[in-house]
Amino acid sequence: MSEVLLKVDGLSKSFGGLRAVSEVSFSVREGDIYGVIGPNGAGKSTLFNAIAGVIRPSAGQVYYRGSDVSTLNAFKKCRLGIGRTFQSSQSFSHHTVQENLQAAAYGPASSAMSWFRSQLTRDETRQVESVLEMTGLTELRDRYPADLNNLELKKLSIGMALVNQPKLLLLDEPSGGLIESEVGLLKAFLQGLNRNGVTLVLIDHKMSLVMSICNEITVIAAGKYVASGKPESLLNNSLVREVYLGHN
Amino acid sequence: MERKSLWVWLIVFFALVPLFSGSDYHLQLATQLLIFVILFIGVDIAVGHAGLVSVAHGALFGVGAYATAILTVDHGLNFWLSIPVGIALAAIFGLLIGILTLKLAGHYFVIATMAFALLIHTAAKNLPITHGELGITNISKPGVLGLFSGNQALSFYFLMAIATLVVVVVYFWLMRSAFGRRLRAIRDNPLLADALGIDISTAKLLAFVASASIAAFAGSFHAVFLTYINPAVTGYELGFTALMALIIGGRTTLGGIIVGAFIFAILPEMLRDAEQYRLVIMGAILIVVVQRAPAGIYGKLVDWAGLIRKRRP
Repeated sequence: MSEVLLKVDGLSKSFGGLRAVSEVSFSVREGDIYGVIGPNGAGKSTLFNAIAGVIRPSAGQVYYRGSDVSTLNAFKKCRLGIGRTFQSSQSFSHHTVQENLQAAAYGPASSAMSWFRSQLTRDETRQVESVLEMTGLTELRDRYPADLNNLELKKLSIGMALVNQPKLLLLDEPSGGLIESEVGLLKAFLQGLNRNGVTLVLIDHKMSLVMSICNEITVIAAGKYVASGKPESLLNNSLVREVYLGHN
Repeated sequence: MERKSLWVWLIVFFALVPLFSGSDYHLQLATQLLIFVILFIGVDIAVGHAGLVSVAHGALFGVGAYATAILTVDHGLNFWLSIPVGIALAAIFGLLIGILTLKLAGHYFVIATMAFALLIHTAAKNLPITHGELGITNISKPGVLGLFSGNQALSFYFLMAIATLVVVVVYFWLMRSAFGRRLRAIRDNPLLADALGIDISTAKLLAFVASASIAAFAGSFHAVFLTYINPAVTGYELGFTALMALIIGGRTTLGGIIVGAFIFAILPEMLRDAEQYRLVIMGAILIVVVQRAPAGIYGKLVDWAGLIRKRRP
């Protein structure tokens, strides 16, 4: 059995009187492609942001490799090896593809000297090249984000997270804005990443992608845990059917 | 950032200024321009690169000026030794202002920096150490100036040119380093910068401290240049002037900073005969630039130069 990489334990998040996420728990093992699904307003993005460190949980813990990282900011989680992408593809619009990846490489080093170096190390340069190749963006390295199509933008966004060689990659709606044929290409890309040792946690509305790529899924609705299990078992779960279809 | 040829042209231009006119008046104008260039470089690190719209830098410039004036006049300290003291003081002020205000968003941050500027200004007006409203007179120029055949204006001009060159080199080095890249990443997309492992709080704090230090460095030279300072030197008007200069000249480029310094150091002198229209003209320039040249006058000039280059056969 592989090691538990991420453990979410009774996580809750309230905004004033609104309880957006209520006592959600699940564990992600190293090598998993783990899905978190739920209807609109289920609290997926809030849960995701609490795991990523953008917001602090009101209660409950997030463990990464056995350590409690619940109160760590996003940048500290990145330095530990947790990468993330956003619902809408994020990049630095005034930079080319290659410069975006280089900007990502300059980010996480924390030593005093790292602030004042003017060049990337050989390893970092090699990593940028490797990500360009991995994402298929080598030919587009001098293009600006505005000149990329949706799939290329998604790959750039994921590529920026990959530059820092995360062990765990959190993907927020990776198929958002993609047409069916592009979703197929994205799926192959994500499976390739997973084969290279990156554990993936994804939130997505596109059931065809989630059901075909994830080996384990947690379903939440109205901020609460509903069920979890293998994709095929969830398809036959009456609670899940009720959440999605409104009837059993 | 800019091409190396700009450096060469700038160095040649500023080295030749004394040949265009040997008059003390013109040399003093050029010296004032260089003091502004240093101040605006400091402000540009915070405003242009880090996106921290501060109006406290006029007061931090005043901290450097007062440190030099008090230490050299009242305590007989050497000018060169007063500079690091001024820088350290401004850095401490910058650190304090940064710690207390950097979490504030948008206009709240601007207002908070204005409040700190007013605090420093009020202290300068009322503390015995600053000689209150009377200010400090007889601030003597540094001792190395005899080197230039007794011409004080020429000597001080060259001294400022060297000091400016040092600051420009430091500015380019800092802004081309990971520090500058991180600042621009935070300015352009803070959410993404955070997710990519950039420590936003530390980066902003360092930017504020570095920019405060450079502003104080300019202030030290300002004190010995004028030989007299009073609390007006800490007024937030200078902070606003620096902001306007960067907007009009162009942020994050040395060319833009020099254009801004030219407009605020030289143009008022050129408009001396039309003093009553000076602010109207400045206001009109600001409105036209904001509407027609969001990257500033220098940015527009670069765009035009690019177009001309493209049209050449």
